[in-house]
Amino acid sequence: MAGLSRRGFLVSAGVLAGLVASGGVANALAEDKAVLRPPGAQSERGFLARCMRCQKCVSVCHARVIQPLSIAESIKGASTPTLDFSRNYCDFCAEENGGRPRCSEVCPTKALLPQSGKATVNGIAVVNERSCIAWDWKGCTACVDKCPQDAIALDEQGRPLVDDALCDGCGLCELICPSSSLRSYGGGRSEAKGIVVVAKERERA
Amino acid sequence: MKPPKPSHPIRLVRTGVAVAVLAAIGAGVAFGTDAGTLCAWCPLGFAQTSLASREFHAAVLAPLVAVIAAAALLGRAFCSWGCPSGLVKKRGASRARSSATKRGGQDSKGGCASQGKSCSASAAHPLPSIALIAAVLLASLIVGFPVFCLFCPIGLVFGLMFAIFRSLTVYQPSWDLVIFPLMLIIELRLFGSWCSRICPLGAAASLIARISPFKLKTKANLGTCRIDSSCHACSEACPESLEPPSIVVGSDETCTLCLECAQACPHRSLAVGISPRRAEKEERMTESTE
Repeated sequence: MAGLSRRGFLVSAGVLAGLVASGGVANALAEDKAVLRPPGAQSERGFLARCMRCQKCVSVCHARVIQPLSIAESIKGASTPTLDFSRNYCDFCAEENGGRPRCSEVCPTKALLPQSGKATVNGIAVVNERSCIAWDWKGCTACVDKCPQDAIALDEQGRPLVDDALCDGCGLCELICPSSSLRSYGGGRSEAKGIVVVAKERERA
Repeated sequence: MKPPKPSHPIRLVRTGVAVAVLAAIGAGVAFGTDAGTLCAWCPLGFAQTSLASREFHAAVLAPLVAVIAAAALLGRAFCSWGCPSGLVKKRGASRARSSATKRGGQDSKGGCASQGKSCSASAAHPLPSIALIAAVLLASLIVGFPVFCLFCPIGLVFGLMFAIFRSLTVYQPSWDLVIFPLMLIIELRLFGSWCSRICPLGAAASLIARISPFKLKTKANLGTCRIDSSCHACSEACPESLEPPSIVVGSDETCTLCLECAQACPHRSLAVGISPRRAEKEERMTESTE
């Protein structure tokens, strides 16, 4: 061990200890978080084991709905891709690539697995009862009218209900939901919108 | 510390190259290509994800071959020419440390002059570099995700680039705008020896450079070089604190080919070239007999 001086050994041991400690903290903080991921994502844990934050999916997304996650949202998931439906929605590259999402095709480490057709699901739309216009005053049918999957129906009282089996989490409902402009409320995205797409894992929990 | 010189043309060129790399990647993102960032070419990123997920990713092959070829030809040149963290790094940060505490911990004091004959300036031992890379890979295996990527300055620079993009284009500023620059400053400025001691990419590049038979290296014209009259201008300019003998024969694999030495040489003796190992040995021989 002549070549591995005490100093060189200490640096490597320190790097190992520091990385394991911070990785452990990041794991603990991320435990029950389920982040909305691009189409083809595996379980959150499996996704984070594979994603090397290369941003290929972010740069290839023609709809620009894939964005790097902020470190403030998740330390472990910093700069990993998430979906943001505030400017556009995910059409699963229907016209671009015949319904095969480009993001999962370019992923080099299978964090996103290429899929097509019915199997591809981003997440599930969930009605936010505190913000949804139809829950307060009735009459708003924006999401019901626009849903490409016909996954949203109205109940007897005119309130939207999402059919989990049909919803593919494309985000069009969240994009067009008018509640944030009809209510003068300055809260965060998920508070202001009457319907938001959440990760499947979170919805089940 | 001596005051900075008024003009640093070679530094400007290097900064220009690093900015061009960043701009090209930014353009790739803006025009919706599938290029991703430099991280898509990182063999260590692939290795970490493979260990964390316990599966092999065939996509690693192209980046691996490209990076090994680049390191075999250019050694650590990426560190001073292409690495975006160079835009943040204080010049000569590693120079602030004494040259005796380089990676490998070998006391290189004295070098050629004091040792008299064998001017084998091949400095660092490979074990610390191997141990460092092993530590990074082992950590990812243990925690189950590529944990070094959280700290990698290259990733942080690109993270910052995306954060700036987002705040300018869709008006969504995030904490990344504050946290990433802070981490970069702590890693590269306060913790000045990051590049020479912590960066596993640089370690891997010097390991490859070490065994490469055709690496581009600094070479002095021994007819004009005044190393014997204790001219150490090249060594004083070297951000890696390499000793004059190893600069003269280009024998140190931690050299980043930044060319500060060539610029500082008062006799214009230094150039870069590819010298096969055998020729280098002969050169050392002739030098030691002189």
